[in-house]
Amino acid sequence: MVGIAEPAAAAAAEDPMLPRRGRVRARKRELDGVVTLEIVPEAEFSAASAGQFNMLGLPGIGEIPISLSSDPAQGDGLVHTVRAVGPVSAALSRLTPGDTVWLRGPFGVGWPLAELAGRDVVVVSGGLGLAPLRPVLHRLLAERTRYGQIVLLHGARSPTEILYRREIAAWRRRLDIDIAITLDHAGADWRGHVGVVTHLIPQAAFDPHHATALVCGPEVMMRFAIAALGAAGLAASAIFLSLERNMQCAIGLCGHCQFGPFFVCRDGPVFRYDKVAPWLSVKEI
Amino acid sequence: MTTREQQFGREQQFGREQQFGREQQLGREQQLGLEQRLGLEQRLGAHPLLAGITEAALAEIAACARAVEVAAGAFLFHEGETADRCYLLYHGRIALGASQPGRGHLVLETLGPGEIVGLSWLIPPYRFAYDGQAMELMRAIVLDAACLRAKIAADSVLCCALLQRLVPVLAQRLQGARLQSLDVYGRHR
Ligand SMILES: Cc1cc2nc3c(=O)[nH]c(=O)nc-3n(C[C@H](O)[C@H](O)[C@H](O)COP(=O)(O)OP(=O)(O)OC[C@H]3O[C@@H](n4cnc5c(N)ncnc54)[C@H](O)[C@@H]3O)c2cc1C
Ligand code: FES
Repeated sequence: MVGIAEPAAAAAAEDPMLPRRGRVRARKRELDGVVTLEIVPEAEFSAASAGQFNMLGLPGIGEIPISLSSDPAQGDGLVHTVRAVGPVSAALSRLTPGDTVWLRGPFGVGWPLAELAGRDVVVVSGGLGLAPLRPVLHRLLAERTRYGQIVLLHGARSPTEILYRREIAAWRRRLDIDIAITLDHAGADWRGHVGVVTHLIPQAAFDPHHATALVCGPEVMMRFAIAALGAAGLAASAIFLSLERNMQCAIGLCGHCQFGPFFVCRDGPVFRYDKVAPWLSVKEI
Repeated sequence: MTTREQQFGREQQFGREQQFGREQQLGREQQLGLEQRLGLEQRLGAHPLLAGITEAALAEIAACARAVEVAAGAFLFHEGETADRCYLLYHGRIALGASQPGRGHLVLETLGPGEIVGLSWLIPPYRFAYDGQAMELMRAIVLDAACLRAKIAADSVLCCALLQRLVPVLAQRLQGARLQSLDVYGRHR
């Protein structure tokens, strides 16, 4: 986390370390402690692609990486879904329309959209891990005929903690995407699945030899999901995951986000599983 | 029919002459003709749990099997009852749950087609650990536990073939339960 100063507006466009001013245009409460902010940059700001992130900062508080969470092809605002877990994310989630927020980005390598054409796509997400995958789902559904089966398997804690519930309901109505949601805890009134998200994988309809999986969620959940995808027949090279590490510079200079031989900010956050597999099980990397 | 059965619906059985436990009182029974018997074996062979099992083993298991259809909302079994059967699901889903005073009925896990429901028949004292309720119309093959236990006691090859298939299920359920207990979606993404 970097405390940021009021930036010099000029030269900002060129320098990735210089934050640019944005204004919150809209704020939507998604869940307890989770909001989606639509931010309009005051100066020109490069559009992020699905899976990339921006650094969102508040002077005197800090700056943190937050993924793009909306369709990159829609609208002029930057849409980010933030869960309040600490000082910066909590301050960001308290912002209201009209407030200022400082932006750097977009950074990192996103989801391999171009490689998905003609393939079945299995999206596996857990909790807030659906946020960085939402742009992908929008892109896939916008050009639905380019892909084979599309499957979304999502794990959440309880019925009240399902992110983007309305949107998921709308996707369900399309009938050209298979969606299964599973919860860790539920009462008898919940009619869907209960159990871990990995449990949904063997039941999902996709051809493992022609499928690519995109996985995002808590790291332990991703490790189990990857094992289940492997058991279902997917090659390690057909699985992509988005990693999180503490970040400061976001441009591969400071080393804070180092993960084995990689910098998550520059070489990720989206990685092909076979490239990072040796380091995923190493503790404290 | 008992009050509980009336309350929770009716199990329809299309089964073997032999009847097992509580279900005996619940449903309509039909004698199996040869064709149906073969159909049952085929269905057993097609169940993922028994994939790759020998025909001889399949025939042994089929001798303990019958088909059952359970209405949505009906309970298959209740916590603490004798685990005298297990179900190989091929249609519909069931919820494993438990009641917690003040919190009502909690669903711990749901299971669907291709899965086995009820593993307590393997472990003394053979009591169901949870309630099992059909969430929708459910079709399954019921295996009689006493019959199966007698067969695996007498046939070590069959015993090994079954355990090779059941131990991974137990391990997977244990892993799943551990992952659920970590509460990874709590504060973390
Ligand atoms: C590439 C990338 C993309 C990200 N995208 C998003 C996003 O779209 N939405 C979002 O809300 N967050 C996202 N994050 C995570 C976010 O950056 C962190 O939650 C944030 O850094 C926390 O900062 P803080 O100052 O609020 O809390 P800190 O003071 O850094 O942490 C406070 C407490 O929260 C815990 N914590 C830290 N990070 C997380 C986390 N990710 N999840 C749960 N607990 C955490 C810490 O262990 C600590 O106990 C992303 C991270 C990366 C690397
Ligand atoms: S955050 Fe500085 S190298 Fe990645």
